[in-house]
Amino acid sequence: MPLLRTQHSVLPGFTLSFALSVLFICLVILVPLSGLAIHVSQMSWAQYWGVITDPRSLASFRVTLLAAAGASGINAVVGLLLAWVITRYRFPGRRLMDALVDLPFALPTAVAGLTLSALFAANGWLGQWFEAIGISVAYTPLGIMIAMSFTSLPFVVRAVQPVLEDLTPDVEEAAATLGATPMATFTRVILAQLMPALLTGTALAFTRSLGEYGAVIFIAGNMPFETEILSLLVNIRLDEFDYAAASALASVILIASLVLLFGIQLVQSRLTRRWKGH
Amino acid sequence: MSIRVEQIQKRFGDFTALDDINLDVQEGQLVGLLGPSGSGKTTLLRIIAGLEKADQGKVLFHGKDVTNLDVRKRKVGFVFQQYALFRHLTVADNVAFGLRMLPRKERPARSAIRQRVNELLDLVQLGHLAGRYPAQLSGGQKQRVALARALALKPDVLLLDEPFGALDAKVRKELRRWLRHLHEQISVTSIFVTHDQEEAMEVSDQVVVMSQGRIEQMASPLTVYEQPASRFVFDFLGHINALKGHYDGRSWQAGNAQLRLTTEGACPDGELTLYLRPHEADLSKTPSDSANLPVKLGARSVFGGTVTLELEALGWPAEVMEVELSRDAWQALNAQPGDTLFVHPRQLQTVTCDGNLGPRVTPA
Repeated sequence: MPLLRTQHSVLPGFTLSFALSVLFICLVILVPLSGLAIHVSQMSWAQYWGVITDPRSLASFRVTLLAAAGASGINAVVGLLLAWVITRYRFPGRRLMDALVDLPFALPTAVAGLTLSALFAANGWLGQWFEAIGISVAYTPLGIMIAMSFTSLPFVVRAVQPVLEDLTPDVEEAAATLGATPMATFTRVILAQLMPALLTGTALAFTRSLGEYGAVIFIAGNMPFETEILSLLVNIRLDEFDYAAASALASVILIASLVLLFGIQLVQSRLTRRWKGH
Repeated sequence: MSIRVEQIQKRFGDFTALDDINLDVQEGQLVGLLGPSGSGKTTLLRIIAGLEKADQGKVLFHGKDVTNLDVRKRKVGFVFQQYALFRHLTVADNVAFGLRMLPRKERPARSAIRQRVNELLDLVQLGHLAGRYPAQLSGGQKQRVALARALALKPDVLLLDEPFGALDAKVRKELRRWLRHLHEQISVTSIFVTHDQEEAMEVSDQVVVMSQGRIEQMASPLTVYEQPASRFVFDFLGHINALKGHYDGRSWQAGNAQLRLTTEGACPDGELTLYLRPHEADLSKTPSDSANLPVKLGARSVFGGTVTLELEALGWPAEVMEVELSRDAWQALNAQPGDTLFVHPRQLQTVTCDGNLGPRVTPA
């Protein structure tokens, strides 16, 4: 197979559009990344290892990972439910609901963070009810999780929605004529077909949560070893002009995200390639 | 298992999809529901399957009332128009789906399921594609997988919704022969929906012709064609030429066209419409005493043993007519496009004033 396989197309300009895409990816993504790599490469392995295994760093990894995992878990369920309701039912306000899903993308994350922390503070509208049953939300890992799930919810909904729209009702009817219960139809037919999209959406939500900063710091409390997330720690190191340590920490998020994204891409393409018959 | 449908009524809003439908299907028969789109045939099929609920009426399988029985418990095999295969499962897993959905007590062992799937795939001649995904199959192959899947649970009744609708002409023809053959092998009571007259005629033991939510006629293909119960049935089964004119007691006239015949089917004011089937007429270069229908030869289409001719009425009002001749007759006629010819009907169907079918007549 040739390196570049260009099919004859009625729209010209493959070369130009391809070159522009590569240029843009370089400028916006690859150049900053190599800056990071250069900073990190100035450290020795021992220094690098020292920074990322520092107890405070390890604690922040733990908080960030657990909160992001929790948030993605919540979003996988809630996002699927939202996508389901929006695509399957016709009700007044459906379009509004559909539009609201994108709000977390549109809202500046700091605004979201402030609002959430006000809501969930011990005396806030929602926080007081949680406080009444003995659960503190603001300034705890739970609060971090809520902030993360707020900012990353659209990823799941928008990944699942188009696939859900493509599922035809006759497939569900076929399952019913074959004796499948509603539950079995949902899990074995619908969910099974949604899985690649749901995985992708959840993974995107997870990586987004790993790097979330603005929405989280207001509600997190930012206690070292307890509610200090990785992005905040990076910021603290920057304030201390310790660029190398900041870069080392950032590289961890970066590598984790890249591995996850590539992994998901691989699983997804393997599954859907067969389903689509290539 | 016999199927009986009693006084089924179904409305969608203001639209009456089915109006007082009664139907009896004998055990082991293959019945074709034939009608134009919107005639209610698919709705009827879905009601029999339990995928749709009738507003009124009953469905009985082998004398047992199943009207309120859930689709899951009706033991029907249903083949969907667009196949509705599970795209995330292999061919073998698609076929095995129903068996795997059985409650644990009734579910066969893994090896038994595998064996049954292999049997079914052999039956539909797709054993070699067991590991493929639906997207890797052709339309005809998908259709056969859908059929194997529907047969996996040994259904009492097999229902097929436009089973060949989405296939190209050649595959269609092969598949419907094959379905006929398969039905002889397994003889499960089957109903299929089609809008294709040829398909219904070739495959069915009994044809049910439907129009606007009603059954127009149910009979064997031969009877439906030779003794249509209504004008609609006559009209719907194959092309017809409608000839409108006046009848004076001895001959039918329209412009300078004339046919000598005797009938009592005419309206009081003398109007008389005659239906002529394309294959029930001859052509010659001269008029006869009994028939003088001058036409101009237009386009011709030669396909198989027959030649279909388009004829334009010369000096009398009529739509473009269609007449079919055998290849030999066409060659003997030795005519060119643009030539003037004369149509000699062998048999005509009169239409009464109120739009029903009158007696058949022969020009003499």
